[in-house]
Amino acid sequence: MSRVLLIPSLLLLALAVLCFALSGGGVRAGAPRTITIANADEIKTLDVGRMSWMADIRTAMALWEGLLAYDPVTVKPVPGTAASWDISPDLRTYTFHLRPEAKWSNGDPVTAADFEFAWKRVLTPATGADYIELLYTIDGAKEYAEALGRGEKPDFSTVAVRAVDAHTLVVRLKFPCSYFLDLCAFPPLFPLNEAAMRPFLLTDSKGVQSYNGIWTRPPHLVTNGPYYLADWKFKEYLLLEPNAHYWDRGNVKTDRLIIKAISDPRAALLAFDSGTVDCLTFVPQQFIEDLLAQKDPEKRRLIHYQPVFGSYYFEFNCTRGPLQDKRVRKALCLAVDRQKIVDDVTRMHQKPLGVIVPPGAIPGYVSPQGLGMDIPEARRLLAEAGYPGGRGLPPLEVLFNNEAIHSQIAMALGQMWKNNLNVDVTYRGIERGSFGPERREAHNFDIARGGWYGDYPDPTTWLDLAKSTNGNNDGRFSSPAYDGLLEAAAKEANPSKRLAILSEAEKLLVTDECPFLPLYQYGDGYMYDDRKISGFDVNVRLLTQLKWIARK
Amino acid sequence: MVRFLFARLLQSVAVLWVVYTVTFGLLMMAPGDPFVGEKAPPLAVRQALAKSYGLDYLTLPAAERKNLSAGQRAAYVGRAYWAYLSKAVRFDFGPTIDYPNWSVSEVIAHSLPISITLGATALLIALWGGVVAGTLGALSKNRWPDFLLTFGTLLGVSLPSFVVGALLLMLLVVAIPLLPSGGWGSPRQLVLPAVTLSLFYMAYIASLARASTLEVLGADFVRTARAKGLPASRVIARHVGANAGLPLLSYLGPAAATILTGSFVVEKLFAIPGLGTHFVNGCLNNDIPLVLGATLVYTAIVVLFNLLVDIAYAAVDPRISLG
Repeated sequence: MSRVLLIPSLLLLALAVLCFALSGGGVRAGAPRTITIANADEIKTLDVGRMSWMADIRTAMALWEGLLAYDPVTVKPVPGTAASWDISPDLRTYTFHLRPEAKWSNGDPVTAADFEFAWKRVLTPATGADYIELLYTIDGAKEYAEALGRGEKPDFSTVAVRAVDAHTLVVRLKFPCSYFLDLCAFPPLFPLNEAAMRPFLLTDSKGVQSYNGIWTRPPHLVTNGPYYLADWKFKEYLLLEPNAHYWDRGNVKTDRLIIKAISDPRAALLAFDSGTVDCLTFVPQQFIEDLLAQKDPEKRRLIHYQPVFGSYYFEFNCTRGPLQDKRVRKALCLAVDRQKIVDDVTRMHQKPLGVIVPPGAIPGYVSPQGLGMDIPEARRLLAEAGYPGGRGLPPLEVLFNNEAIHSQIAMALGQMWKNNLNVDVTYRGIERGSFGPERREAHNFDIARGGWYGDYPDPTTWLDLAKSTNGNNDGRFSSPAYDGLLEAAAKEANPSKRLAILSEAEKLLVTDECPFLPLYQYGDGYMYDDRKISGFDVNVRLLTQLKWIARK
Repeated sequence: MVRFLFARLLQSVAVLWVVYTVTFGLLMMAPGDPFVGEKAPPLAVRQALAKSYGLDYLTLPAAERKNLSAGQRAAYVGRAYWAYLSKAVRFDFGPTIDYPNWSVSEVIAHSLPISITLGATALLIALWGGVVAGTLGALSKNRWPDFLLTFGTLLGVSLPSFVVGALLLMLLVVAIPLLPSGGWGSPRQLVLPAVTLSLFYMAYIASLARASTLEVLGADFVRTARAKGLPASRVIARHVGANAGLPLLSYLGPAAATILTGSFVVEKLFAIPGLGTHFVNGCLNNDIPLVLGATLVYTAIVVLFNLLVDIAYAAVDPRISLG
């Protein structure tokens, strides 16, 4: 036996050793002031122009710095690469004054032209920017991007972004956008070092330009933030080390920041418990209920979980069947016990939500009173719409992506509607990949699961979802009155009056038209020991600034 | 031998082509649009992006797609088919859709060695563990070591790897912290996943080894060898072993292929960045270039190992000759 099996054994051994050597070793650990953070998935992209995932955004904010940055606790925009700025009296022209001492990680000065270059690139459809619409706040930007999309060759000078000199950037907005400074701290608006990217420029046969993804990788990636990217092993780790040229280098207290990807929640928890990982940027879903319920205060204090900037809801298809009638939609909204859903179905005790913009999440915005549960009123509305006691109402189809939590909530809703209104529903759970197109493109549903995380601190980040022209308006809700209110708000220069108009719009949306059935405010958070790690605060928008993370 | 190899090479190319075509067809028919995430950018952006992947068909609005004639549709899909076929020939599928900073070849170059290390180590453990256990079982036929072995084999074959893996994690990481919980980089991190992955194959090899050893033990030449007065250890090592090993050899080929391609669960459980994870995630996310690349690599592995087994068979068994 030994002779026969010797050759394959030696072959296997050689193969294992060779491939192990090829796969490269792990990251050196044990250096002083090292912090290891684990995300649930690999960074999708380090191309700031394209990114839209939380983990990417968090990493980008450690590597780059925008004109502004976020305060690590209040998340208010504070000076970043721009030391100061002036705003014109009509609130539409912003003049940013860049710090002369701001430098790229290769020592080049950061100039206004770097911002112009980056923004122009985001506005080019071929870049594939998820957040291209954030830049549509700039005068001429939308027209420029759309002309490019039609295959025309518009002049970028039609977009109101101007690098007046190396350290002055002037931007003219389309409307007095109250949250523009906040956007300036958000990765899609970060600057790019064109000289460092140029070697990776590709031009295809039709003249369309793009960059080979290698530009985002060490040692090619040049950034202007607290850290630079020292190493990146796909699906293993990113290694960030302090950027020696960063203007605020003195405040960066961590020598090595290791960002890992651990997709299995059990593996993530084990790594955290055994101390190989200091911080988890998520609380593993499968165990969240037990984790939150555990009695041991020493363990409970490691979990930093709170309501965040997102709402979970179901949405009605307003162009199909009986749900075209707002009375039916409102009746369905009124027949739902939200408290029961967060207590008994999700069991994570999120904040029940009767409105679509999470109350308290936006400074100065007063949320309208949402709908609660009122079964007699729901029955009355249903009868008024022509379906007394649910008679004559065809079964409604509830569409969701096949994940345990969504199907459980859908079934709980179905049960409530059956018991309270005698309304029948059918369920259709489909896999994640098809769910998006089915809901957003084909609009093939009566009621669909939805959820939205706010992108900027303004109610419109949610309220725009119901605008008749919005691409994310899955239920194709259309109301001239509602669109009119949003337009009026966009034209209103007085910030508090503007918020009042938006509040009125939301009231119309959640108490009268009811294209959404809001259920709860998302909860999310991190796991770490705040006696050992500082500067890793959870904030409502989950925009953690890794610049401040440090070992105590 | 040369003619045999040449014929097999041609066959392999044909197999790869068929697999490519079927996979491509399935991916095109699969529902879903890889360019729609939670936040949908404007259609022009998605279309420009899809175009850069040569997959513009996928982002045509549903209404527009419905109005296409069969010829137009065939032209769209045909263009993509040829584009990706020429990419496949050069083995350069361009960037992945899900992780656009990384090309498919880079992802595979990164993760395949990891999967192979894991698979080869697991198979090595399985082979020697299985052979030793199986031989011991056969030698002590119907006594308690044999029953123990049969029971163990049954357990090994029937327990899925996520159960075994979780048990090992609880035992050797949580209860007695001997080994790291997962990740990649040091040989210590390889132990638990390799053992977990090997158990099924070890059990199977043990039962194979036991059966074939029993068969050979009863053969005339063994009786002769014993009658000549050879010591038992020598009989087993030289005469029994050499002949009982053959059936194992034919099992090793397919086993190597499945162990290399089927380590997804173990990779996930131990947070190992191998190819299996990318393959499954690629399928879930409609990452067409990545799925095509990974499928072709997997196919090549299966084809290659079957070929190796055929050659090995001819080398050890004089009754078989390769044309």
